[in-house]
Amino acid sequence: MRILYIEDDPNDANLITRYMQATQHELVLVSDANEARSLDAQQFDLIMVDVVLNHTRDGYKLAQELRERGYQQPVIAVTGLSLPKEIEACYDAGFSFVLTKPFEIPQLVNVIETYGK
Amino acid sequence: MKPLSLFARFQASLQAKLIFAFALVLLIPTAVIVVYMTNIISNTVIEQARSDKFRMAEANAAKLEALLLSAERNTLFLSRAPATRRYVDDLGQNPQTSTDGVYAFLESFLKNSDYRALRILTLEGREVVRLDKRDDLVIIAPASELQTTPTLPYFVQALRLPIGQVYISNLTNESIDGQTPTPIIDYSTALVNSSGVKVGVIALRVNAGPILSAAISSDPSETTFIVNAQDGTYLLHPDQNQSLSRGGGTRTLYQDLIIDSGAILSQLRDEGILFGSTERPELMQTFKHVHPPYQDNLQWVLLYQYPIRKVFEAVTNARLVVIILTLGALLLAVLVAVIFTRTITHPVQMLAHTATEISRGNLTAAIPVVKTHDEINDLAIAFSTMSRELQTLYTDLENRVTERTKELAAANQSLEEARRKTEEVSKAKSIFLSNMSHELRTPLNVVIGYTSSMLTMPQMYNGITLPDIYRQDIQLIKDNGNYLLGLITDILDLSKIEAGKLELRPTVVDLAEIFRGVVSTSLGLLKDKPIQIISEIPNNIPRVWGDPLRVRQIVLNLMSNAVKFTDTGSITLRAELETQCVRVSVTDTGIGIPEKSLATIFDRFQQASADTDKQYGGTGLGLDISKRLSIMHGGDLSVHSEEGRGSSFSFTLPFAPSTVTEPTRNLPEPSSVETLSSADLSVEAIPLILLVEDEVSTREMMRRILESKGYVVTDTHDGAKVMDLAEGILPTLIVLDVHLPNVNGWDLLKSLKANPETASIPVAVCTVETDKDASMRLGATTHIQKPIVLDTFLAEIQNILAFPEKSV
Repeated sequence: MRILYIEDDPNDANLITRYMQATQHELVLVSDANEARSLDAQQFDLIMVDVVLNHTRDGYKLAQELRERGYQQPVIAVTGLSLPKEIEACYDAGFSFVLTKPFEIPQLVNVIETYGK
Repeated sequence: MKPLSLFARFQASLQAKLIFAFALVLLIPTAVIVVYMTNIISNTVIEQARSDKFRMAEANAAKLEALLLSAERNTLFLSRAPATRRYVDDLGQNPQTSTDGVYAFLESFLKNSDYRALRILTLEGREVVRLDKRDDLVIIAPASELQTTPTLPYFVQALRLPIGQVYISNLTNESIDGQTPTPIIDYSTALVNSSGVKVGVIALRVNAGPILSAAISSDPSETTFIVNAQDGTYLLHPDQNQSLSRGGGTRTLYQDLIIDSGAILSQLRDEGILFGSTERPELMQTFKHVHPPYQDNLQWVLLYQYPIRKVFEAVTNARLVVIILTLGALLLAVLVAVIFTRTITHPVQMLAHTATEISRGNLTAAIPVVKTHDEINDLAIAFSTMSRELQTLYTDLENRVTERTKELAAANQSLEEARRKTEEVSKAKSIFLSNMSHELRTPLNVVIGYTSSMLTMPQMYNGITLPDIYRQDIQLIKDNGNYLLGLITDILDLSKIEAGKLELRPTVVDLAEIFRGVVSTSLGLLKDKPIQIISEIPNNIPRVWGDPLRVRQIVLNLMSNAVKFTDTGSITLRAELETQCVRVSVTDTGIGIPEKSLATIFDRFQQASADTDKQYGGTGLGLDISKRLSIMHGGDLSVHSEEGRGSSFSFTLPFAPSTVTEPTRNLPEPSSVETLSSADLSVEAIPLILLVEDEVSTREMMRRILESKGYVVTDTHDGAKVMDLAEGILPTLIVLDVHLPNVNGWDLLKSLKANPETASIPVAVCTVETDKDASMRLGATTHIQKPIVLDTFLAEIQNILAFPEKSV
């Protein structure tokens, strides 16, 4: 499975990269929204996005754009945002699921395995 | 305008009232005076008439008497005159005494008087001298015509009287040769010679006409009578036939005509007035007796008759004069009143007019000039002052209003600015909270993420399992990370509450649904504690009004506290119906709370005892948050506890608006009292439908028809939440639209059927797609073709609920 992960926090990126290395999944990691836009989304089975990228909430826009361009696969928000309003905004933007930071590694595994099918 | 009635106009006019009052005040005393005066005048006029008549009668009587006495004096004068005396002396001695001397004297006397005759008689009654006057001519009777009349009264009586007294005869008529009879009176006295011896008589015949005429009243309305009191004959009468003096000659009895003769003729009363006597009520009769001194023979009564009508005419006239004068005075008074009141009412009217003008806003209306120097003038001055003051005030007020308007506008502006600032601050607060939450969570992710990896994912570490010697410490780091996360969540909740940023999203809440989720979670917290969890919810509990998320937060907080502080026994989650609300309580059989700590239990960062923290953990913010959330739901969180016996926390929730009187759950189910333990997770028999449908109108339609049949419906438009919801509430049936935004409905169905907790829940797929077999293959119980026909839809649902075994 090809997974795109957009994350600006190197620690989180590192954690997920290390997990992916232990699995059969192929991970493409980028650290800002513009870089993600330059890629062809359709080649990925699952896209994971940190909503707050470089202190701006570019994630919302990115999810919207993906859906507008007809991307049908799950788009997961991985974010430190936790207020009910913010979670709602995520779903409104087109995210399939919101994984709130901090998360324990089994939660991440669950999400990837559930939505990655 | 309707013309006013006279009365209304009178009422509206001060002047009319004043004049009326003036006239009234004047009229009353005037009327009294008039009545009094007319009475007085009437009496006075009558009195006046009486006394006038009486005085006149007296005067005439005196005149009459004087005339009578004048002749008496002349008789005496003649008897004592020297010529007479000489003749008398001679006569005594010589009967043939020469008469020449005496004739000359007597002739000249008679000639110069209006007496009718003079004669001298001897003691034998023989005339010796006789002179007659006929039409101013004195005729000396020749000796041949001299008569002897010794029996005539004037001869007899003259000799009887004492010397020096004169006899006056009664009135008689002298008729000479068919001429008009002349009333006459004879005066006679004895002639005395030098020796003092009576030698004869001298007699004077007087024409009584002028004497009687003197007594006639000057008032033509008055009738004059002279009556002889001795025999009652009329000596003077307006009717000549009855008057002796007018030559009527007929002696008519006085009594025949004057019935009051008794009173008038009586010698007892010399004079008097009969005013309307019984016999002659129409007359006022004045009488006066005339009797010269020493003349018993002459007893006359002078009588005047005057019609009382005349007197009353005078009275009436006088009264009329009084009344006319009074009316004139009254009229004058009213005129004065009119003029006088006009001087009051006219300025008042002018002032009223000006006041009206001012009240209409014409503040510059001219103040009428009052030319008097009285109270009205004072009023006008005061009014003028007031008007000026008003004008000043008004101007002042206008200025102030303008000023205030400016101030208000400025205030509004600053208020608007303040509001904008507040909004900015509020917005800044929101952003701050949001950022703070995010920034705190990010480093925690490293702590929790990495530690959990190390503990559970050896494959991430080249297959090297964490050595046990590190495991404990890493676990400690992870647990503290989670504790910190809890703390951050609570603090942010509190901050939101205090900043007013925590907004409730109230809706109809099914407590049973909340209870199921919370109980499920609490069972997970029990670990291996031997505790029974009891859920009590009577079937008459209506649905309540609140934010489901926050209600769940409160209940879960209380439950987790109960689990934390209870080692054995039971924890009871209970809903009870109260008059206006539902009370939710969590009662445990745990360690309880010391009495001294009850007061501070809800305070922030307070726990029952200092070492509670160490022993049981927790942030100490949970009860604070729960209490605040309870208050936001219109209730309060309260506690009852007994140390060593357990605690009971409870709060209230209001009824949902439409369900206050009618519990929604009409299904004939027993009260749900469930006893659960960690070993018994699946006892759940409440029919509950989870409705997943993204199109609002369809969803509402479905919800309504299901609720109308008494089913409890939880709905969502969000496919992503379906798994969580299904696990949390374990619905009796799921109605699933497989065309959902963002989520693949078929995948959702697969997940539901793959999850052991939700696999047994029947799913009714509801879709526009016609591929029924695909649904059934994936484990759906039924396939409902869209667009739905409500009857068919309901029938399908009822069928599944009636035969749930079909779905297994």
